[in-house]
Amino acid sequence: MIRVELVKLLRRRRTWIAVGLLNLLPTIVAVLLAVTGIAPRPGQGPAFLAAVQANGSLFAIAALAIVLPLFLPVAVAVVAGESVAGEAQAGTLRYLLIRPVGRTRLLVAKLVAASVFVLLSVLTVVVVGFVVGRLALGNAPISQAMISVSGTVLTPGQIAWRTVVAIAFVTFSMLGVAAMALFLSTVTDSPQTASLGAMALLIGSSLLLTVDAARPLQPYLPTRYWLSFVDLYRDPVLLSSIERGVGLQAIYVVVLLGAGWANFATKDVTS
Amino acid sequence: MSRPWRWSVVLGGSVALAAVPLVLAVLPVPGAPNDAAALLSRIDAARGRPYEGYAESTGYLALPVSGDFSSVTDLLGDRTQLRVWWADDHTWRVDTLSPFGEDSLRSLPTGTWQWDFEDDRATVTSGDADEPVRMPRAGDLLAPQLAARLLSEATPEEVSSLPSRRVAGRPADGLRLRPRDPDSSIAEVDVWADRASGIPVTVEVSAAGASRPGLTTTFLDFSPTRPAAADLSFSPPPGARIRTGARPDLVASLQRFAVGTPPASLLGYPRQPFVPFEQGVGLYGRGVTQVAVAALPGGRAAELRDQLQVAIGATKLPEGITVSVGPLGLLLTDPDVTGGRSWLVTGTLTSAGLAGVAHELAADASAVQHGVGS
Repeated sequence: MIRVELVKLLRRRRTWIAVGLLNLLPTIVAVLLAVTGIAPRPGQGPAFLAAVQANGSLFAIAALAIVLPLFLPVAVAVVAGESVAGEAQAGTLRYLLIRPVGRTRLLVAKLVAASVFVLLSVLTVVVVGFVVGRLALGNAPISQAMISVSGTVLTPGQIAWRTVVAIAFVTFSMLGVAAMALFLSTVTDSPQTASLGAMALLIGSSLLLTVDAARPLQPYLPTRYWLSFVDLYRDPVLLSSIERGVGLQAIYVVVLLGAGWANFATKDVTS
Repeated sequence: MSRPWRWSVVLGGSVALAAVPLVLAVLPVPGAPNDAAALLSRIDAARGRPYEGYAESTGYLALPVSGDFSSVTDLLGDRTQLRVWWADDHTWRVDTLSPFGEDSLRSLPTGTWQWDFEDDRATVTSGDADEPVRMPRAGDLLAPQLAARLLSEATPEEVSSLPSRRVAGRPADGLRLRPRDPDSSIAEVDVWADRASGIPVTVEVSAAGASRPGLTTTFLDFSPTRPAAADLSFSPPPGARIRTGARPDLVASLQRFAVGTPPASLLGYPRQPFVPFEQGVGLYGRGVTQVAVAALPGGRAAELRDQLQVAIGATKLPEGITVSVGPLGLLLTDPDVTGGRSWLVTGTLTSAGLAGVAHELAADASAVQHGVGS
């Protein structure tokens, strides 16, 4: 079942269009920075973007910070929102459920497929960001390429494991969005409605993070720890927010996947 | 399993997960009720002890100032995330974290280093980072530093016990300081100290009449251990811009704008000896009750008066125009009331206290006479 869903995901043209669009924005930013030489002022713009003029390799992480707040979650919401509702709208859900597999397994397979899409997107953004950054913004030797946020030189080994953990953290952070869109996808037959519902959650969460009156709520908002992957590039590494972010996303995934299961397991499928 | 049962399981599980932080927050911390006076002594004895951790301070004080003082506005009116490695009062590192980077200040035997990641700049300043009079910085908001300042002159009679709580997962005992000075605008200072070490880990400062603390600082991770030397040391990274910093002379800056001689005492408090000059700024007070006064030249006073008249919350008093932000009060006196000079009075005083200062400045004929002569 999981293999079938993965093949379906990878064969879809829109999967690769979404991945391409995700990489387009950081590439445009890198080219503009290289041509104009105008970097954001310190403290302005996405993380690491103010520092990429001095170090092109940092653009791999800056690219992640560029797509993380909006474009990546929107892409995930679209893909996950289509999971069940898209089948219902196309009239294929009934035929899908005729197969001798449980609906819970189908939901899990859909979530795994959405997760693979997230991982694929994040990996390509990092790789393309690294290549574009070095080509457009400077190609210092890799051994001296990266200064930690705290001002120490990171060895290639340190850069490698921190980036692997950052990719894993960002991927996991998106699973809450995927689970929300997947749950809504079991509620409605319209994939657009499911995607928009998940995006509304993100926009609401991001908005509440800027409101002082909502401070007591902020540790529980799904987008609260998304940008904490920057903490992996401090020296020593700060794990507090990473751990809290992982825990919070795990709770959202469990609750929303549970809600999806509660709604979908015996739902009347008419389309 | 039927549909209602499935939903019951999901809703029950969700409520249980949501309740975990609330239950942990209200779970009683084991241990006998603490004695406030003894805790005050323990906190005093723990000064200078090493520790390290990750802290967050939240201020709700929207100061009506900008420009050179915007850093102070951010500290007192926003959320600040800090990492600290504290070996002793002369050797420490405090990082102010942001989603974009980090601003690190390190006091080392070789000097004071400031590292700004986004600016790719390291600034070294010779000597100790501490001076008698300086601008507030992020490290001042750490619970041990803030508590040391606020409890410095507290007496056992002014403190009472608070229920213990867990801070950063560790049991902490609490005390409440209620200043006895009737003119103090600070109603309460609540401090929780780590039970094992006596180091303050949470401080909450509340203004008189406020429904919530105006400033809260607490550790999210805390360890009362000596930080590793590697975490404190600093070498500028290759390619970074290196500057030699000049220590900002705040006293000289203030002196440029002050044109009168403050009186020898105000509200019964003698002038503090920290400001090493006769004219200019006068500091007075005890413990959490602090007030600073300076006579401003006519042009600057008029400029400030214009700004205050349109500031939110500004109030016209017979003695001048005043603005209060949480426990911080500011009064620009009417020169007709205070002997022809406009005095800027600011500190942790109530409106009545600020007005009282204005009356004493008016009565201090010798101070006025000195000011005219200067």
